[in-house]
Amino acid sequence: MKKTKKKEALESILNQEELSMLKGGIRNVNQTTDCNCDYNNSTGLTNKNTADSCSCTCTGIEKPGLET
Amino acid sequence: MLSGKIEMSKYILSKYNVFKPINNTMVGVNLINKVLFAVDMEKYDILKENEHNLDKVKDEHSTLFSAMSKLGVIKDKETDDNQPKNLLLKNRLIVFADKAYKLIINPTLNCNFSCWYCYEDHTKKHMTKKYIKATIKYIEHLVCDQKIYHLELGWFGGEPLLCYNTVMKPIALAAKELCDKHGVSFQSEITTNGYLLKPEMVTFLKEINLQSIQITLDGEKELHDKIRFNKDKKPTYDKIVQNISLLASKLRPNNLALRINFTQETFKGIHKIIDSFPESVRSNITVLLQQVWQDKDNSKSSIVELETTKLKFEKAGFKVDKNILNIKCYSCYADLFYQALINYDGRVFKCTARNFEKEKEDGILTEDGEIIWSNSLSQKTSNATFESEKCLACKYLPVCPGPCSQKMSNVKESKDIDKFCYELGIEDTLNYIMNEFEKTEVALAPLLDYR
Repeated sequence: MKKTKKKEALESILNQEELSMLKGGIRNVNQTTDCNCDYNNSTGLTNKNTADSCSCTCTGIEKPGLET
Repeated sequence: MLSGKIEMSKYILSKYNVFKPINNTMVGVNLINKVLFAVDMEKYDILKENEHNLDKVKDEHSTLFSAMSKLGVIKDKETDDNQPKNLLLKNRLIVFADKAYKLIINPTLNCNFSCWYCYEDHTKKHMTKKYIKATIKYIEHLVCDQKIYHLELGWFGGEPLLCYNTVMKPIALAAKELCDKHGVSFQSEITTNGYLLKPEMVTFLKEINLQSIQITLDGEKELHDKIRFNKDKKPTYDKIVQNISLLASKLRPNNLALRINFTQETFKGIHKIIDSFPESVRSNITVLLQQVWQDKDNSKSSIVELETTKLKFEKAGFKVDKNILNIKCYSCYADLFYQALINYDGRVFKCTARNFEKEKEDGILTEDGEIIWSNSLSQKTSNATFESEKCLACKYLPVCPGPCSQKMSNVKESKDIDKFCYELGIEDTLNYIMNEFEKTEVALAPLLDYR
């Protein structure tokens, strides 16, 4: 809990737009329910679908990558 | 603006940036800001390609520019150039302005153990009433005349508990009384082998606010008992472990450090120590791993080996030392002006990590409770330990305050510093931290809390 708070405090150094410049700053989420392909946990520019056989697209982003 | 003159950008990539490519990622940290982050290679390339014209990044990649500025990667040149002076100022304030006094006492250099690596001469002499009285007078002087706001009274040796009743009790009780009377906060600390501790001592140790304790094991039980035995050659491991557990459950000081000394030979079995301690007390014990210095001359343990072992202890419930880089801006408590060690015979020293021979003496305690310092005090404290051309120009300066003042007192010419330089160790440590940070996939992390 303490550690998560520390990370949250750190992430408040940057705004959402600035965080999107960092790897792990914005997590892309696959919201297509019938496909479970993964997305690289990276910025919008380089986010790629890692499953070649699947053509589903990333449809949303979630909050910056806090420790889970 | 004068015609024909090219105006230079005021922005630079800070000299204190460290970058490390890992796969397709560039992990970075500015050592002044001390926040780890990772970017894609193409973003790093934007910075690197425009290193000499960062205004272009500001105009064309404004979000990247502002993110990197906030992380300290992009700085204005004047601010970056001024960092060594900022660190010097910080060091001088810590060394001279903080009137919290750390007074360490060697009540004796005698010891009930005879470890092979000990550098001390175990004479049987101990502090006599004359110096007990003089030490109390010195504490009175600190509290009443020097107007210190905090006294940390440390016990070292030899084995200080050999003089528990004769020296430790009278000095500690008098010091506490003086501090209480004059509104000075007081706490005690001790470095002991732990063998002589007894349950009935806990009440007194609470009374003198014993908050910091360091006790050493020399590896797993079998190895420890071969190295640390008492004068009757009896094993000591079980007794020491029992006493550490007693302190962890009954005294619960802020810092109960279990120092584990090791050599390359004994390192592999260190983790076996974990099971010697009940789970209920582990969270009150901080594990420190220390390679015996004589063994370091042979081959120094790698940061990966050390940290992997520390992680095993952490997962088992112990606390571990996470300060694997020095960001305090000074090397050692012995560099502080408001610090002294009084030996049992009234001789005064700054450093506790050398033997207490005549040549290393820094002063004398008089019977009136005054310390007459020798020239070595000013030699050791007048300059910051990193106040050399080499250190002030070093990119690792924010995480390395240079060799300690004791080592610096052996530096006669500038090239002598090279043999004390920590550059390679710091590079190894940063490499390790950045690799571990990259595995976490989080956006940002403090430099020393990267997992």
